Amino acid sequence: MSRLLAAVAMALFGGVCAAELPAPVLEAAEAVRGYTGAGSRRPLAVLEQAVARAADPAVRRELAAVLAAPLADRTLPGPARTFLCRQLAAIGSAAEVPTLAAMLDDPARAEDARRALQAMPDPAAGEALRAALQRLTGAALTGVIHSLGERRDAAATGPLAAIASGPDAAASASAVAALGRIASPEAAEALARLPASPARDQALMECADRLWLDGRRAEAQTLCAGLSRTAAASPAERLARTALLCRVAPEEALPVLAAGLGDEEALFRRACIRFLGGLGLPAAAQVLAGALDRLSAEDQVIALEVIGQHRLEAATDEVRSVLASPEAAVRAGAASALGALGRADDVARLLAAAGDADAAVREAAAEALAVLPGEGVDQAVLRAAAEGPPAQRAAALEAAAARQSQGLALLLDRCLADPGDGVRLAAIRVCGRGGDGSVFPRLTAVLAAERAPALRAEAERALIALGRRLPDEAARVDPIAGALASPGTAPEAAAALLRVLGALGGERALAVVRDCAAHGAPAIQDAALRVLADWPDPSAADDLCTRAAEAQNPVHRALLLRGALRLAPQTPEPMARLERLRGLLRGPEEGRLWLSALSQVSSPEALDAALGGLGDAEVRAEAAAAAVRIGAALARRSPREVQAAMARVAAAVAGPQAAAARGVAVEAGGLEAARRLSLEGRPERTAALARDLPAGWSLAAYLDCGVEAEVQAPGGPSLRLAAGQVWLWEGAAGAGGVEAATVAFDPGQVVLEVSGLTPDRPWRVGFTWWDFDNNGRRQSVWAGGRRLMGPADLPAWLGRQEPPAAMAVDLPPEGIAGGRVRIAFRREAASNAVVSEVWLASGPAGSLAPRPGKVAMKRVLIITGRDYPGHLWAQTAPVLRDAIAQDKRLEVTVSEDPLVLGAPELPGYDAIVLHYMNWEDPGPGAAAQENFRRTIEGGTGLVLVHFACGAFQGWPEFVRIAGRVWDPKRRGHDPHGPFRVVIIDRTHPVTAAMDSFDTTDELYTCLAGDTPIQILATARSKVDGTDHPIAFTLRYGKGRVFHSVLGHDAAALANPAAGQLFRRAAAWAAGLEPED
Amino acid sequence: MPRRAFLKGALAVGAPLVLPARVLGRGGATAPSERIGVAVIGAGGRGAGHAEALMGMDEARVVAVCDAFLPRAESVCHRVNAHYGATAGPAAASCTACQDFREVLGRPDVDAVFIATPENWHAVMAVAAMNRGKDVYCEKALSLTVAEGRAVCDTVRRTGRIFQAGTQQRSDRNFRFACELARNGYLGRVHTVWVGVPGGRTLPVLPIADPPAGLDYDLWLGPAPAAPYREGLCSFNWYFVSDYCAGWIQSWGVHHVDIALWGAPELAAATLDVEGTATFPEDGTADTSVTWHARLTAPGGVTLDFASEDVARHGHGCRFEGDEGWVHVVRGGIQAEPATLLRVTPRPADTRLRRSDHHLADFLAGVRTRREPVAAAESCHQATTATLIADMATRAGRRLTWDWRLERFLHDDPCNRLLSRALRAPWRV
Repeated sequence: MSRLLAAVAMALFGGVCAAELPAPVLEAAEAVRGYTGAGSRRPLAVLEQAVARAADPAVRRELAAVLAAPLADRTLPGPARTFLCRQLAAIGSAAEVPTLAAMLDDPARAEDARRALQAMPDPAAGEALRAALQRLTGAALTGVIHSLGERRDAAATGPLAAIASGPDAAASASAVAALGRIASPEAAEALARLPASPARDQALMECADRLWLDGRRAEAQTLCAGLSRTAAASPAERLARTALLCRVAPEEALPVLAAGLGDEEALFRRACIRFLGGLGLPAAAQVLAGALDRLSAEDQVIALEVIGQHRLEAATDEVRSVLASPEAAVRAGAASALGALGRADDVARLLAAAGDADAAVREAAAEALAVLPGEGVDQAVLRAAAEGPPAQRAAALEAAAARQSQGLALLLDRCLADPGDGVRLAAIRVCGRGGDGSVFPRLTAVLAAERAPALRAEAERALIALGRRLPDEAARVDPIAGALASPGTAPEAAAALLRVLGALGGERALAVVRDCAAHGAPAIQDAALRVLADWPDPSAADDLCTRAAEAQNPVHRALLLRGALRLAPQTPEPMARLERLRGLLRGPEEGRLWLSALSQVSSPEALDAALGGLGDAEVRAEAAAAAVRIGAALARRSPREVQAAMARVAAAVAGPQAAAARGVAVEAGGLEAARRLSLEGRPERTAALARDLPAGWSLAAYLDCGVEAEVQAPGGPSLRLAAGQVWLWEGAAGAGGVEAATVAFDPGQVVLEVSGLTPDRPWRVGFTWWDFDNNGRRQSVWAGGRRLMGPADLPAWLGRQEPPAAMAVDLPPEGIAGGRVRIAFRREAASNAVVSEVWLASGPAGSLAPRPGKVAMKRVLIITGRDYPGHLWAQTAPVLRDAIAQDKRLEVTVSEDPLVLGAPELPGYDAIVLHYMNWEDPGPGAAAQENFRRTIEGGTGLVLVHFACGAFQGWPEFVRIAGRVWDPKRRGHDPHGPFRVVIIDRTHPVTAAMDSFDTTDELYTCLAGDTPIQILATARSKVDGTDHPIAFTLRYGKGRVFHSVLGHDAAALANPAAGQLFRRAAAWAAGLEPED
Repeated sequence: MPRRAFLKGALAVGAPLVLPARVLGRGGATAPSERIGVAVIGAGGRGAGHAEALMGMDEARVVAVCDAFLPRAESVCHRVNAHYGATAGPAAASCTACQDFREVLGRPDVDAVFIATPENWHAVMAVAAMNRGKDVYCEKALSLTVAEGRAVCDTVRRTGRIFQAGTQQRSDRNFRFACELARNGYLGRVHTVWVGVPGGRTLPVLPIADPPAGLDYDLWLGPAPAAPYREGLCSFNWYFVSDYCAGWIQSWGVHHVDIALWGAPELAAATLDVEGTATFPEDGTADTSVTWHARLTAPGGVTLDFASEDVARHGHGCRFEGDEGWVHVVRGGIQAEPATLLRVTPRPADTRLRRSDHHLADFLAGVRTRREPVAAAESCHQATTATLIADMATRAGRRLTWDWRLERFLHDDPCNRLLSRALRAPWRV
């Protein structure tokens, strides 16, 4: 709160003489006289608060007088008048009525005055409004009539009735509505005297409703009866009348509703079914029950819902009979209704329904069995579970569990030993879901003895779920230890029991597993070691270190080493353990694993150790990644050290990793570091921008907003920040790069002055912007007073994970005057405008517009700019572009705007590389999709990369274009990791020269579709052991389509073999013979 | 990537979803005669999102798009027609754009309207639509004032129309589950519901200008007082100007407050003691609260602690806290203490809340079967009212007592005068 406002509050309530208004309020009231809407709103805020806080009548009187005083002045600006009248609506009293009443005669001021008067409870306000009825016309009259209606001013009934039957149609309609709102018996009479019309009938219905609510029931019923003497003018009116009748006179509504069940109009029929349920009359239930079998299936479903919802027991027999309906939806509805109405003898019926062929019926029956009220239901369910027909026993058992029936424990015990697999399975499941500690030993014994693999797997799951609910360690470990020690336990069962211990964790379980690993039979030892390697908590860290060092079996050694590395960072002295493990490492692959473990330790020692790995080319990338991760964790604690370390990382590696290191350095060093790093990285940044320009274009000037205010290219144009302040977003440099993290911002617009533009060539302004803090920014771009772009939403990082957007727009030559132009980034929403970088590019001299190169090059368009947040397209797209552009016959353009799919020039490209997925975005729209489809059909080639297989969920045609698409219902992919891509077709041009290769990527296992495809490469899933297509081709119309699911991250695309695959594919799709 | 995210993403933006046919109680395809004709009123972000979502739902057909800013209506209409043209043939691409919503209320092919305009318009449009025999889906908050909200509820009752409010968290399993935990005693006795939502914004003085071509500004203002057009007012910034909306305390607040009342209905049963503090912009075009902290206490002692998230004790979300545990729910996430609460299987006698997993589908099913939707007008009226009385208490700076039955404050006539506002003629509810 400002000091000024605080002073007002103090003065008003501080106990001083209440009737003396404080000076700031009086000053504000004076200042408000000049308020035209254009200037400061500060005095208005002061007055608003004074009004809101004024509780004392004396203060309110005084304040109202002060606020009303300026209104006598006819020249008062409209915004000031509107404001003051709104305050008087809150605070005005009889004293202000004359001033406001006088305003009613001035058409320009009447509306403000009328709104104040309507809100004032004083009868004088009503008198003033009534008096005005006689002399006003047009909109002012309409307003006054509404106000009297809203005030429910009974004294206005006579004059309003006169207007209602008068010649002015607009005023008459308003008066009819106002009489309906006043709803006095006199108003109703006046309305009844008017000729029937939909508006009058509506007003009469409002009267009846309000009279009913006001307790004048007989009058309401009379009105209602009067209304029903004439036919309703429309279906809507018929429905409204019926709703009113149900409330006001239920007995009379009953025959209307009964007849309505056979009405031709479906909506009315269904409304009648609903009304019957809510009528609260026993006869209504009978009507519904009697009509049930005559209704259509769809109406039956509605009726059953109503019967269940209102527990209309009179309909129970009819519900039972439609449980045999041929329509599944009716059976499901009947089962649900029986759940509310039924008795013990319905258990058998519902159990039969629980075995229905239709899943919805089964589900409804199971839910009904769980809630079925009444005596004897539990016994009936238990009996059915124990000795019912075999097909129903499992369902009965599930029902008993859901009901938590008495005697369930005993029953479970029997069912766990049942000879029928189905019953046993249900019993095991029930134990896992709802069992308590007492079942644990029993379930352990079941697992130890179970022979059927499916049941064993279920028992394992159930034991884990149950064990996690047991607080006592001994209670969940000792029974398993006992079973493991028993000689009768088969090795498969023992392995399962050990896995249960592994999932539960803890010291006691660890001791048992350790013992098995040391002394068990070979199969048991193997299982125990595997469980140990996966141990969930660091208590196993020492064991794993020791055993990894001693292991002879190479598989065991690898598993144990991985486990040890996984747990080491979680222990109290991680570095000591990691140093010990370092001695065991063999080969660079294990070195990389070690660095990955190291990266989770946040200490200066760990940082040093990571830096130490930078010198070794084989592990350099992992060392850099570890250093960056540790650096990020230490940035605030040891800024100096981290900055130095990140400089070393940035010098040792290139690309995204160097950028990430710089981001951490900025995190540690703030704006200063950002400036230094931006300048250091300038050559790389400008080179990257230049590379993206079309042939013949060059970068003429570059300015990193937030770092510098002005740049002057030697002999070229200059860029100067004319409006905008500097800001560094904390945490942004790591996400979007140093350049994007520093910004210029301004509450209205960030302005850049450009000078030195020569008129002989086309100019283009490029920029990056980013709504890092997700402020809701939306901006437009202007040059020389012309709008070049927008308003457009900026990509937001926090909560949305969208990287900064780079864009370019042509500067219209007519906007450039004397080589100068002002470029403005205007705020269209949110608190201010921001821009991260601005640059200028110039086209070839003599040409006025950019033209594509005339060489017989093939044009390839990479479309990206939107993806699932885990897919950093801003990092992967450049790698993809570089890989494809190695083929010098291809001119590659990257578009970060998926709307390009709708661009008319799309068919001008020879191939499109789709590296895009419409994540949380409706996509470019049906028109753009159609444009894209036609483009491919017409002969432009298509290459789909990784998650592009999910680009358009819900567009049925896409599967015919892409061959296979992401099916979210299937298991998505193997965990990210290494696998081998096997080339199975060496006759196809794309893969003709290629060998199988290893990569680290996501192996997608969820592609769906039956469009014919030609598979070129596959890979075997570690999870399901089957081969999945990795690369394939097809034709869509004249278009060649190549689809590969490789390319989860920059590293995956940087794999030379993956790059080669996409390069060859792009060439092939564009109609060329692939070359390396 | 997580597979679940597809669905989440789709719900977040209202993208097309494939609905299980049994939501509608029958087998899939819709006969053209049964298809619900929809007019979308207000073609900003929400309206366009609804149009987009409806395009993917076979049981509805968007036949009209309205906006006071005609180019916006035309752009959405264009997308609608492109979609229907491509999927159902040129004859289906018959959606039309218009500026004045009254045009569509007279059209017999419009069965239902989706209202996605600023708050000052909600009640006027909803009441007019229902009186003309249309079913209504209306964005939250229900209304600008308590009196307008009452008028909407009365009209639903009087006309027998189907009404769904845009408090779509009611169609999210996590929110429903949290409320069921609270209502069925799994948290012990619930004593506090903590609600935190994004705070409001300040604005500069938006410059007065001529309205852009294509915008009928007088129609945009509608029942709000006459005022000069300002740059940037008519998209987004209106949220923070009290002539059009009571601010995010209302328009965002209503989402989680609705959940609070769903899970703790005793908050809306009798009376509430309301007190609170807030900060307001000192200058600029915005005049609604920027941060606030209000406490609304029911007679039994249950308190709704309602704050902007920067001052909220537990940050963003809705947390039911009882003497045996708590559950904290946000969009896309739910947490509980003890965590085992999240694995609770309901007991047979538990109160189960209406299950809806898709807010638009629930409304369309309501239109077809005349079932009251999950976010009925009365529920959203209560939630909207709770946010408005919290706002009034912070402005008045004194403790107020709200009576739900009378829908008035007890012993505070000054504040009772703020419960309604006169509408600019010729508009009325």
